[in-house]
Amino acid sequence: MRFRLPKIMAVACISSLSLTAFAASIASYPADWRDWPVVGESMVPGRDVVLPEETPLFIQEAVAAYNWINDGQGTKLTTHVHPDKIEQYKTHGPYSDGITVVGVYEKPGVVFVTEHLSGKPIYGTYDVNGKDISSTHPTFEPQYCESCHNTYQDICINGTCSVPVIDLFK
Amino acid sequence: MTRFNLASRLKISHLLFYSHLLLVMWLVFTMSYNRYNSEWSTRISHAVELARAVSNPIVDLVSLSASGRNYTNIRLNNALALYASSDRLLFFTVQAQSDFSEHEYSFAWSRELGDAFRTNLTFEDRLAQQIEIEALEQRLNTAGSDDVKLNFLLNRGKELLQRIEEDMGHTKQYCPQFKRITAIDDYYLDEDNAQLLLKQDLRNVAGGEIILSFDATPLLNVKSDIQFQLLKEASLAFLFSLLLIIWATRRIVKPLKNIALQMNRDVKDIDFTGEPEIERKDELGVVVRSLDSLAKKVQLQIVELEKRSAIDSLTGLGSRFLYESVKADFVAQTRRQGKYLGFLICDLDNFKAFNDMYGHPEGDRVLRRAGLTVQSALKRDTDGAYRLGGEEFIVLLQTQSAEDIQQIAVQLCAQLEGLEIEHLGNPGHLVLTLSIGVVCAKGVDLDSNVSMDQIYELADKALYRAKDSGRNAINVVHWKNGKEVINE
Ligand code: HEC
Repeated sequence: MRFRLPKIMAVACISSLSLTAFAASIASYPADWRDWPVVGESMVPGRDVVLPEETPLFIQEAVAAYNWINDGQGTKLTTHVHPDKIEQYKTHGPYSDGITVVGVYEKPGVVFVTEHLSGKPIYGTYDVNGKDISSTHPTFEPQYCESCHNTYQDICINGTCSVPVIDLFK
Repeated sequence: MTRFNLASRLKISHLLFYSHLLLVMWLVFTMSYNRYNSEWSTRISHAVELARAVSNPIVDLVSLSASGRNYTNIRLNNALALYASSDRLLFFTVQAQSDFSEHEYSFAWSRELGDAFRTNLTFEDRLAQQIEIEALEQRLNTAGSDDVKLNFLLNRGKELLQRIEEDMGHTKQYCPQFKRITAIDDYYLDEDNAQLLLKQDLRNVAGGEIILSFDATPLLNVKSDIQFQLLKEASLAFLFSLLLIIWATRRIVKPLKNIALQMNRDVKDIDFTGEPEIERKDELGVVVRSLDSLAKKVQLQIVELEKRSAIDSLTGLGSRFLYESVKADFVAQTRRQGKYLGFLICDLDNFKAFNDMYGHPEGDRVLRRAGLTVQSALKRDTDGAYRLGGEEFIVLLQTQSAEDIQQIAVQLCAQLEGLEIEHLGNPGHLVLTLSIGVVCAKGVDLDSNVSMDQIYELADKALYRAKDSGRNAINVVHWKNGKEVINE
């Protein structure tokens, strides 16, 4: 196991599950994500950008969900995959246990984490210092992540969202 | 004549009536039918528009969800609230293709259930979920540091299994009802089940469709309202037209009937004066006026013809015309023959009363019999009987003696009385009787300037006296050298 779940996080998770008093990341924060290979770099367009009509509905929704980041100015999104899981990522799993991939919004520095356990994805949101910020915005809550990653079963297979990522490998 | 007129009247009235009735029925029917159609189709398209407006936000949501096969979106609270927002929407089913895989995407929603559910779950799906849960449970049993995460996943897994089982149950319970929805094109009004089905295409790339069922009860109520309203209006229009037709038919046929009745009468009696038809400004008025003038012309001609006819048409005796033509010669002829001239004016007693009591037709019949009686009394070629008009007959005789004349007069009275024709208006006799004024003149006593009119006058006076003496009487005047000798 390369990443350990801090004790404090475990407590936070339990409270989130049992009481849902406040949201907490389920996935752990990988401190060394900066060393992981970058498999994708893309721009999150600003709030004012009108997407071309042929953009898949799902992508439009994803953009709309997070274009508030960086005060709606748009920012760079970099995807880092855990070095051991690049092959799994290409095929959308099946995933072995452990943190799989992070998506990093350059500004203001938000790290989206997708971890797998028993083949199932779990999610977390941290700042670049590893602080759990999932309760700071509704769209950062793990449950909200699931509303795309777990529910769009054909786009996010096994919790990773395929289309644009796979395209990068071609 | 009568039957012919009646038949033609019926034909015309029936023709007018039925042809117009048919026309009106056809008009009212087609107009009502067209109005019904346009009204009804307006209502339907309105209802469809409404249904479409209701379904549009649902289509948006479903299209997005279908695109990436998202079954969570479509059962979030705000999604359920969206479906339930129009209380006309009863249920809908979605059948679509994922934009990103070969998987199909299908779910349904039912107002009765108040929830959406996947409709394509199989026992394999359930089994797979059960196996997943078992795997997680096994891992939890072998203690490790990931317990929190595993518990999280286990709960999620159990929730999912429950969902799968619920959805399978709902599919079993509600989907037979959805099976009714067969291939429809845009929309379909299922009147038997009072539902309006609307088909909308989804907007995801791979496509799909949503079929929504709306409660059509209000729409169907409107339908029967329209039907009732139109029926009311149609019957009103029909009734009004019927009255109009009857009025028009009568306005044409009634005058025709009147004309026929008039034309049916004896030509002499045809008289259109006072008939309302003669005042009409239309074609019928023209016809009636022509008929009237035709009848008047014919009547004049008949009078003229009668005047010129030798035979009195009623009695068969000689006419006034004939009398006028023979009277001039008669005196001279009698003189030449050396015979006696007998001039008889016969008048039926109280005949005006007879006509009043028994009617003119009966009066005419009696006149005819009286004429026959008078005729039968005449034996010689030279004898002549004439009817100058009314109930007055003139008999001209040439005899050997004055007695013969008197005898004939007596015989005439007796024969007529003998007919025993009841005449209650003839006091003292109670049967029809005859009074006769007679002038007897010896031919040689009549010089050439004696005219028949003089003799007539004498005879008339004699008749007056006979009547005066109580009727059924004879008064005889003997003509001697221009002097009369009265002889009862
Ligand atoms: C509205 C839909 C949506 C939501 C919500 C969402 N994501 Fe994503 N996520 C995507 C899409 C689409 C991509 C791929 C974007 C790209 O690479 O351009 C993606 C990519 C990612 C990646 C990169 C790896 C991959 O391909 O999946 C991570 C990590 C990730 N998301 C984590 C999260 C976390 C954590 C949350 C919750 C805080 C979250 N996401 C919420 C749609 C969503």
